[in-house]
This record gives sequence, C-alpha cells and structure tokens, in this order.
Amino acid sequence: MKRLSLLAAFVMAVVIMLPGALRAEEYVIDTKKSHAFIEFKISHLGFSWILGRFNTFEGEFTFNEEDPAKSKVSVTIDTASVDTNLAERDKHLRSDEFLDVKKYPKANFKSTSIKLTGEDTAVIKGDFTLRGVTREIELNAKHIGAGKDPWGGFRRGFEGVTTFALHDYDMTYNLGPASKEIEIFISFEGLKKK
Amino acid sequence: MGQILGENVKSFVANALHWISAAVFVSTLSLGLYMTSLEFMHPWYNSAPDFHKSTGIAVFFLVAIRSVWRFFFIEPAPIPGGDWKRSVDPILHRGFYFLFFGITFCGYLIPTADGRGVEFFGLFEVPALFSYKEPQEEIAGTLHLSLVFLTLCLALLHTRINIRRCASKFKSLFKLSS
Ligand code: HEM
Repeated sequence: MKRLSLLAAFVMAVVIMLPGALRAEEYVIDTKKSHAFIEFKISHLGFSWILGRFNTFEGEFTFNEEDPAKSKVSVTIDTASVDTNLAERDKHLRSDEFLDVKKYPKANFKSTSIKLTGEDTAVIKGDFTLRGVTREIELNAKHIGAGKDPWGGFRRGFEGVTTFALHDYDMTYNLGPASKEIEIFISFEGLKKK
Repeated sequence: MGQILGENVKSFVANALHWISAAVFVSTLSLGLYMTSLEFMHPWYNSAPDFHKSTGIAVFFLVAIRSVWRFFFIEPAPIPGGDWKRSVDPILHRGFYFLFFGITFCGYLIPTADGRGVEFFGLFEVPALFSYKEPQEEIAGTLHLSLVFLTLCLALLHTRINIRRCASKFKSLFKLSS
C-alpha cells in the first residue's frame, strides 16, 4: 500500500511536470565558447563613441515555443570585467566613481514580463541591479534564430538593446552633457540543456 | 675604476644624484596625488598623468644611476656615534633602492596592462612587457600607492636620523661662502 501510493505520487509528479518541461525549453547562455556579448556605448564629449564590454558574465533562459511571452531570462555580470580597451580607463570605471566593483561585484538582470511586438520581436521588462540600485528597464529584443548546430547541440539566439541614464544608478561623475546616457547591446546564444 | 675620479667628484655626483632624485620623487608623488583628484573636464586631466609617468620614469633612471655610482665609486659615509641610528640607516639606504624600483615598476604596470607602452616626455617609448589585462592594473595600482606610503614613512625616519648631520653641513657651506 505504501509502495503503491509512492508510485502514484511519482506518476502524478511526472504527469504534472512533463508538459511544462516539454513546452519551456531551458537554455544556458553560451559564455564558455563566447557566443554571447554584453557591449555598451557612451558618447565621448559628443564627438564619438566609447565602446566597451563586460567580458565575464553568465545567464540562462527558458523559451516557451507555444507562448513566447512566458519565456524568462536572467543574466549576472562580473562588473570588474569591464573592458574599454584602455587599462587606465577601466581602472577608473571600476573605482567608486563609477561601478564601485569592490562593493558591488555583480550586476544582475532578471526578466519580469515579456510583450511580443512582432513576429520575432518583443519588449522584455525586467529588474536590472547595478551598483546596488534595482530599477526596471526595457530591452528591445529580437529572436535571431534557432536550430541544430553541427556538433549535436541545439541553439537559440537573441539580441537586445536598452538605454538608461548613468544617474539612474547613482553614477554622477561628470562626463559632460553629451555623456549622460549609456546604451547597452546584448547578443547571446543559448545552448539547450540536455 | 675608482682611481680615475677624484674623491670630490665622486661625492659631488653622488650627492647631486641623491638630492635630484629626492626632489623629483617628491614632485612625482605630489603630482600623483593631485592628478587622481582632477575632474574629467579639467584641462590637465590628460596631460598630468602623462607628465607623472615621465617624471616617475626619471626617478627610476636617477636611482639606477645612483645605485651604479654607489656600487663602483662611493658609499654613503656611516653616521658618527654608535646608537641605533648607525645600524638602522644603512638598512634604510638599501631598502630605498628596492622601494623606488618597486614603486616605478608597479606604476609602469598600470598603463601597460593593456599592451600599450609608456612615453618618456615624448622622447621615446618604454614598451609594455607584461600585459596580463584585468587584474594587473588593479593589483599594480594598489601596490603602487602602498609602496609610496611606506617609502614616505621611511623617508621621514631617514630625515630624522640625518637631519643634524645635514644641517651642520649646510651651516659649514654657508660659512665657507660668506
Ligand atoms: C617614484 C616614482 C613615483 C611616485 C612617487 C608615484 C606616486 C603616485 C601616487 C601617489 C599616485 C596616486 C595613487 C592613487 O591615488 O591611487 C600615483 C598614481 C599613478 N601613477 Fe605613479 N608614482 C611614481 C612613478 C610612476 C611611474 C613610473 C608610472 C608609470 C610609468 C606611474 C603611473 C601612475 C599611474 C598610471 C597612476 C594612476 C593610478 C590610478 O589612476 O589610480 N607612476 N603615483
């Protein structure tokens, strides 16, 4: 009797979880082989752009084929990995005048809702925590493609853009009137979990 | 080799190197503290660090020449008397060479972490030999400042030990010239 009820519980658990597991595919963002980039762009005096990126981060997402709006994504960034191709500038960016990486070693994005805006586009809302401040941001996202890779895996890729003011995250260092906002571009490929 | 130059020349050069190094060191240090406090929009925001690196490299050369001079020609005279100062001062002297090389080397490791060389007053470029990226400029930066503070403390001790001898030398200089 005891065994039977255990078996019943197990079967029920499988029955309940299976459809969800089938519908929501789980992916890990492929940072190992670097098919994922978090880049940013900020004006230099209004004359040109400074481009930079975060070299170290990790993330995962679920993708719901039937109802993509139910998908979820989360990314965690090592703020110390900021790279603008100039060691002295990066050192300054890590200091407490900008990212304050000693105090806030991680930045984090977690989606809260997804609104489809076209066949392969969506607005992803989520909480972005940077420098200890959490605010809602909106990513304009695009599904780029998905399919089997030549090495036996299944991949799916997206890109997204968002803009926010440095001031929103308590970065008040004066870089001049043209450099108050930063644009973030993220592009990543997820490797489907087996 | 020691026979070629007279004692006066040897000690004059050694003294000159000592005081020039000390002056350039203190200027470089002050500039280092000043430049890191400059705002982005300040006219010297870019030029001050360039100048700091050049005068810092100058400290390196001055100390290098003085250590060669010391090795071949003349060592600082021991302090008269037999108290703690006499045993501590020679240790300080040797320590300063290591500290100066340490400070300038760590300073050099900051901007060269990304593979760029450092210019010496626009005359020539010291190439980047060690470029380990991300943690390099951070570790080097912390060491750079810590070694500067350590050196500053020891320099005060060094001054305390030698001030009397130095002052009496100055006095005799003035007596001679007047
Ligand atoms: C004896 C010579 C030197 C002294 C006394 C000295 C002193 C200093 C001081 C006090 C600072 C401020 C540190 C801080 O606020 O973190 C500084 C910063 C700096 N020094 Fe030097 N320095 C010397 C040589 C050099 C050399 C040779 C270089 C490079 C070739 C250099 C490159 C730098 C750089 C890039 C910074 C800025 C670090 C930052 O932005 O945090 N220094 N130095």
